[in-house]
Amino acid sequence: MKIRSAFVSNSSTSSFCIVGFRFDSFKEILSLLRHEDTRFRFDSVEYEYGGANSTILQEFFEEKDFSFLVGGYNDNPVLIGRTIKSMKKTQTLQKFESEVKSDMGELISIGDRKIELIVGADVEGEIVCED
Amino acid sequence: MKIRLGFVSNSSTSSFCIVGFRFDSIKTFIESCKNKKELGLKFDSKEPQYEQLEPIRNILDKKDIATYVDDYDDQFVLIGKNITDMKDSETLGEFKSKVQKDIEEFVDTDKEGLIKIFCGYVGMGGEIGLD
Repeated sequence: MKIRSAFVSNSSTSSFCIVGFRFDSFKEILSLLRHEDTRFRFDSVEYEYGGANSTILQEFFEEKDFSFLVGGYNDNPVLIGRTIKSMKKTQTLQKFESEVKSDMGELISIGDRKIELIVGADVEGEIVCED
Repeated sequence: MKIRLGFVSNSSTSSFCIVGFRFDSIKTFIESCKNKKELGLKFDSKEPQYEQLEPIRNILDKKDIATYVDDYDDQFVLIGKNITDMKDSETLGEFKSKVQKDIEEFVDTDKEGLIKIFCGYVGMGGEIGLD
């Protein structure tokens, strides 16, 4: 299956290394958001590739220094996390993961979801993650 | 969620995230290698430059030190350890020190500045793109 970065329409390639979470769909993100912002009160709104809703959601996470990568096809899997480059020299990976988990937890219900170190690339809109 | 993990045979792009050093050219890298004579390393601009690195790359591979050579215009060299090799209990600073020590057993890094995190991809043409 292909995962597409939501907002890239050109043929560029980029890479990422984040500590964060995988979500099943764009709709799942909406259902888990803790934020009371009225921008996210659109339960019945269908996600559209590159649409206004996805832009709002991306901006929401990027304002909090999170990377937001979303699949552009049918089930729209989403990766949200913080780049490894923001890790401090004195931090352990465990501590960085805890910090990301805590910050993410203020925005979205994490539950027992596993936090991961995810290395991947956006190849002309298709996101591919390393094992 | 179905996220494509790893790289299938029809994909020629891979991504990486390492902690290490960047050398501006293959020539600079070869000149910085220790035990050049024993390894038969000698920079020759008339010979295929990439192939000249094979002796040192084989040794580094055995020590889990990755080398990425831009096989395009710039021909720079990245050398380092995969970020996933960092232990949970280890700080980023400790990991960087350990990696630097391991690399310096084989390569002189004095002129290459500080050890850094490099996230990037190897593209279809052998080019390396850095985040």
